[in-house]
Amino acid sequence: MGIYNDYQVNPAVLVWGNHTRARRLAQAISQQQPVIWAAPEKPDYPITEFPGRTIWGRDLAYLRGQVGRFTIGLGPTPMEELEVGQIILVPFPARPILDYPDETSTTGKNLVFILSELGRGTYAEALSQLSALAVTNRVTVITDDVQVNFFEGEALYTEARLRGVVFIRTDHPPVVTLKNSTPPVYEVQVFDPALGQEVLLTGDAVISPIPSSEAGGLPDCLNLSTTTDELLTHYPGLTHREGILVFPDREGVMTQKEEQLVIRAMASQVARLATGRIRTELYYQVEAERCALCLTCYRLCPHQAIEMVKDDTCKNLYREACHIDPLACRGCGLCYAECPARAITPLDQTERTSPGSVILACKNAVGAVAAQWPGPEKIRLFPCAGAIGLNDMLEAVKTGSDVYVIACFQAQCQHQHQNQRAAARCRLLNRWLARMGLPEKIKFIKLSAADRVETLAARMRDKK
Amino acid sequence: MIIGELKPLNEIAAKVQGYKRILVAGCGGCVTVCQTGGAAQAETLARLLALTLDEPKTTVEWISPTRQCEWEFIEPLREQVQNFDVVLSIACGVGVQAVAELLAGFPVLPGLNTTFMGMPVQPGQFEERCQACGDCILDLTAGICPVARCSKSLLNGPCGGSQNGKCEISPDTPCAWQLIYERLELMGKLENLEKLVLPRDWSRSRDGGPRRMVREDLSLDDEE
Ligand code: SF4
Ligand code: SF4
Ligand code: SF4
Repeated sequence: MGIYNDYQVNPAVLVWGNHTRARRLAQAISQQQPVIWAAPEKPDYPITEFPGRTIWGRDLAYLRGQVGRFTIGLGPTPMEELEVGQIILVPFPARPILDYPDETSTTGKNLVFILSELGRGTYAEALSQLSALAVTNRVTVITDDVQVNFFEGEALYTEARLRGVVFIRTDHPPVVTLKNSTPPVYEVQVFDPALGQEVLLTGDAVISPIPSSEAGGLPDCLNLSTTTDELLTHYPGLTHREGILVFPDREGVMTQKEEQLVIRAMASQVARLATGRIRTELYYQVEAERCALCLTCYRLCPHQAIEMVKDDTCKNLYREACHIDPLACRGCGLCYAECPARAITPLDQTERTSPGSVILACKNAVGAVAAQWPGPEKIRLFPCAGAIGLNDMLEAVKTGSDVYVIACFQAQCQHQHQNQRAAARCRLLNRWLARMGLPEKIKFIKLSAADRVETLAARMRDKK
Repeated sequence: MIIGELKPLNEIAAKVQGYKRILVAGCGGCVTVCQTGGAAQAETLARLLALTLDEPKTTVEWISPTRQCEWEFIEPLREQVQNFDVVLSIACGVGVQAVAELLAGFPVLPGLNTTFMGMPVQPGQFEERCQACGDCILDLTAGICPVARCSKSLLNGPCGGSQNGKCEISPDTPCAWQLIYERLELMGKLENLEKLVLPRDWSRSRDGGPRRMVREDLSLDDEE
């Protein structure tokens, strides 16, 4: 059983942005807890009877603290500090600009589109444009994900493919080089997962979206990952930082009704701090005596949950140690796996002891398979593949059997691409084993929670 | 901080051949910070060695004192090595020598190559910054050390091999003199480049033989 603790928190919420949806959101939140509504520019519509505090004309200059106790610096000078428990950013919705070549005058060209991190609004327009261009040109689209979740979306996508548009779906960013020739020719190199290899495309033009100047970016000082798809997958607008939310729908394609649903969902999300108290589970803890203040955990934590704390009770050389904020920590265990001083310990020991296990798995990746797995290989579960450390792998190697490290697919990892880190560790350990003349026993497997027992068994067989 | 890199594992395995009871000693100082010689790495190395050496006849254990370069922190090793035949230290060369001196006569092997003095420029990437030349000139070079960061340690650079801001030894190595130029420009002190840096006193560097440093007030010798 986990360890729980009660904490006092600041119930106030900062809503940042001047779009009307920001106002509606702030209004909704004001019914349940204190709210401050602020933006760099005053809204250009009349505001009457807003029940909370409003601040206009200031920038977000810095952010300190964690969920439940943020301090925000408002610039420019003179600086003003604001204390809030949570922050919701409401970027001004605007679609990025795609400069489509004119389909009547463009013929016989190689056109390469690079579309990533875009919403369905852009695809709704792009798919028909692509189909039209494909009539007289060769059109290739490199995309992280085709969004078809709109009226007739599926049909438009099928049509584009029938017209000869080639879609390369990949998470790898393409590399574009301009050849010195007249007219100019572009070379685009990209990894195609469907072929399992790099492909080289040439294009007479490479077209990718430019952010609209109206669109509000995310303030740098919040250190948020800016990939919209990541923000959107965690409904309603949760980011990788606890207590900081971003209103989804950056392209502004929501209907009023959908927007109302999101507002309600966000309001109930922030309501968990409304009483000023919260009970939360503690996952990991730094033992200050052992902390060498190497900052590994501080720099790597995917949720920025770690702070340096100067405190005379820290019984180490520095009287200072890294500290895991229990409210900001999402328990991924990456810090535990990487701490070189072995200063970080899991507080819930139940998952740790499973001697003889040779399948080391992220619990999100194996999902229900873990319970149904017939064996004989034993499974040890970790909160994330990032928590599967070299020493855990070596413990499993001791059994003499092959060791399977199981991670999520990139898009599904809840802790910022720890699948990559786990894969890198497997490669490193295999290299070391090989150096010592031992077989490369560590097998890296990707799995999704929707996969079945047979899928895991098959992937393990493939690795034999 | 001092940066070290684990020696190739085949070399380490060859060094400990023939020993039956091995104690891997990490260090809680610099090499913990660069993630190559801390407690976790000592454990990893111990586990790897245990796999190659034919257990159960061999035992491999690990420890990690606060800093291997201080007598007080390694004193407990005298006791701890009673049950071992060899210490494999993954501290820097200073730590290895301290332990070897403390345990004079007892085999102490290095498991790490001490590589340079530097800093993490981003997580997991370390770069050399200082060569302990003994006569710092960072004031003249806008805070960028040409001794450590110019491949030729030129005091009056750049040389003809500087191209597009990179050093001729590799396109990944920034030319230190280009960096110095840019920083001086930023400071409005480009005229510094016109002052020739005269030949310096290398006797304060390695050329003067092994170096010592004495803080008189801390090291009173009974002279009277
Ligand atoms: S990784 Fe470990 S030693 Fe390094 S700062 Fe964090 S807790 Fe301290
Ligand atoms: S467990 Fe994960 S989220 Fe929590 S502090 Fe460690 S790295 Fe950060
Ligand atoms: S022994 Fe070397 S690595 Fe360890 S603290 Fe001393 S100088 Fe740093």
